Parts: sequence; C-alpha cells; structure tokens
Amino acid sequence: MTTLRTRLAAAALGAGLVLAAPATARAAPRRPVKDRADTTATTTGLVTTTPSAPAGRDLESLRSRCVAAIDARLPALSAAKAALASTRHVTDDHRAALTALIDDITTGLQTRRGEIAADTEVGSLREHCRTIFGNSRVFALVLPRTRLVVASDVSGAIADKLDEVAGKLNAAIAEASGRDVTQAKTDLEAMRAKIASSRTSAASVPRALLGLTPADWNANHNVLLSVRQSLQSARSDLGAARRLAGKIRDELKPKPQA
Amino acid sequence: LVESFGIRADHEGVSATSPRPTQPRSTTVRAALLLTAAGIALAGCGRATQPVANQGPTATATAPVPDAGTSAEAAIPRGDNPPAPTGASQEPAATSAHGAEASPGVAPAAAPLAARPPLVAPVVVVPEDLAGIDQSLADFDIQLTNAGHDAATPEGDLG
Repeated sequence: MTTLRTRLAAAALGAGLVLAAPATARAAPRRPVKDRADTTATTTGLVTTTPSAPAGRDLESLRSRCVAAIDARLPALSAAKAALASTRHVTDDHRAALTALIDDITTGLQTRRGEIAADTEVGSLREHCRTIFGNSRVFALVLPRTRLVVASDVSGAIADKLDEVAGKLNAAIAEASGRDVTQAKTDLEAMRAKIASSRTSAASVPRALLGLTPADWNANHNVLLSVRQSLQSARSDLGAARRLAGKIRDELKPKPQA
Repeated sequence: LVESFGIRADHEGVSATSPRPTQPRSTTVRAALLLTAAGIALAGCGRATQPVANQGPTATATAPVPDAGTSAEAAIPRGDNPPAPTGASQEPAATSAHGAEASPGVAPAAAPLAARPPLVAPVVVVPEDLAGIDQSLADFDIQLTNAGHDAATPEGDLG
C-alpha cells in the first residue's frame, strides 16, 4: 500500500513538472524590458515598436496616425486663412505676412503628406512624422499667433475710435458753458491716459510675433506668454477708457429741469 | 421732419432688401410725388411740423441716416431716439460717410432745428460711437480666447 502511494505521488509530481515548464517559458517574454532601443519615441509621442512586432503592421499604424495629424491641421489652417481674409481692422501688412506664414506651413504639410504616403520604412516614416509637429507647430504657434496679431490690430482700431470719441467729448466740455465740468475733465484725462497705455501695451505685439519660428517654440514653450499678457493689459485699458467715455457722456447730458 | 424721415426711410430700407412682389415703378413715382408735395409744403409754409407719410422704398437711396455723428448734426442730443443697431455692419466710419453723403437732404430741415432752444451741454457722442467700440472689444475678446484654446491643443502627440 505504501509502495502504491509513493508511486502515485511520484507520477503526479512528474506530470506537474511537465505542465509547468512550457508555461514558464511562455511567461518569460512578458517581463519588463529594460533596454528599449527606441527611447526617442517616448518624447515625441510616436508609436513605440518592439523588435518582435511585425514591421508591416507598425508601418501602417504609424502612417495612419501621421496622416490623421496632418488632416487635423490642414482644415484648421484653411479656416484661419479664411477668417483672416474677412477680419476687419487688420492692417494690410499684417494680413499679408500672416497669410504667407499660413501658406508656408500648409504647403509643408501637404508635401509631408505625400512623403508619408510613399514611405516604406518605419525609420523614414517616423522622421517625416516628427516634422509634422517640430517643423510646423500649428496649434501651439501658427494659429495663436494669427489670432494675437489680429487682436493687436483690433486694439489699435479701438484706440483710434476712442481717441475720436475723446475729441468729441472734449468739444462738448468746451461748449458746456455755465456748468461744472470739473469731473468730466478729470475723467477725460484719465480716458486719454488709458488709451495711450493700451497703445503702448499692444504696439510691440505684431513685431514680436511675426518673427517667431517653430524652433523658437520648441526652445521655449512659453514664448507667447508675454505677448498674451501685453494684450490682456491693453484690453483692460481699453475697457476702462470705454467706461470713462460713457461716464463722461452721461455727465454732459442736460439735466432734466425741475 | 429729418428725424421722422430718416427713421421711416430706415424701416423702408430694411423691407426693401427683400424681394417685393408689388410694383416698384409705381411706388417710386408715388414716393417722388410725395417728396415733391412735401417740398412744396415746406416752401409754402416755411416750416414743417408733420412727418412725410407713405415714403416709398426708393426713398432709401437718398434718405439721410440719422445720428451721423459729425458736424453740427452731432450736437443734437439723440439719446431719446437712437437708431436701430445694425450688428456687424455697424461701422462707425461708414456711419459718418452716410451722414456726409446725406447732408444735402438735411438742408430743408435746417429752419426747424435752428428754432429749437439752445442746449446747455451738447452731447456729441452718438450711440453708434460706443456701440461700435463695444463690438470691437467683443471681437478682441474672441481673438484672445480662441488663441488660448488653440495654444491649449496638444501639439506633439500622436498617441
């Protein structure tokens, strides 16, 4: 009896070893791999490939992602160009410069699309895909720059109009004989100071923006920050000047007679 | 007369932008006759106290736009009678241009305007001035907001 029990135990142990060996062998490749050859893929966001994956599948997957990235950018550029063409208050020089920049990026992306479609190797495809981002910076630079330059020109037009209104208000104060216009005069001076301040804030914006390149953004992701702050300051001044214009106008209205 | 004429012309101008099945030629003749009658009445009586009735659509082409915002017209307080806003087309410069073009039509009404009592403090800033500024400020805000949205879009990420 003891002999039979020993034989059965030995047989069970042997069968267990036979079953366990292949399972261990299959589990081995799933361990974390420390030495990844493609470390740049992490920083660029591109697809990371393992040496054991089929090359053809990776190529098509990457290609479709790159084409989708281009297809997301070309319509945005086209829309920005159309909006720029119909926007009021933009100077001719700025409109021409911004349009040329948009056209340049658009042409580059269209060329890249053709290259990506013709790529047959993952390495060259990956290089072409990287240029979609690093050489264009459509969302990070091109589109915001267009809007910020437009905003700068709009602020100049608003300042011009406020100056015109200030002139009218000044004439009204001069003609308001027999009334106390001290407060109106004080408010008019404050209004003019706000207009001048807005011009100072927005004056350097177009020059600072039009010269930027994707490389500038790659080197400093906050390259637009100071420009945005300048425009926000200009906006604050213009709003204050507008409120003062309404206040002065109300102060100069004839008072209803009792 | 000028104010009522201008306002009426505005109304007619709006309706005239849509196709009208009525006979435009007869309406034009009617408008011309009415304008002539009004002119005779002005010349004969020396003053006009009643608005011109039934202006035809063609009056829009020569009707002065109220609140031109320039010259002596601007000195008239119009706060009680602001013109209807025109949205995006409310360009202050364009308004001034209309006013300049319409100045010959304003001439017959100079007598009743001059007869008004002098103003203590003429209000020269018409509603279009400030409304145009408000519209431009809104445009500015849109550009700045959208620039922020664009910049917040992930740029270098395919994954």
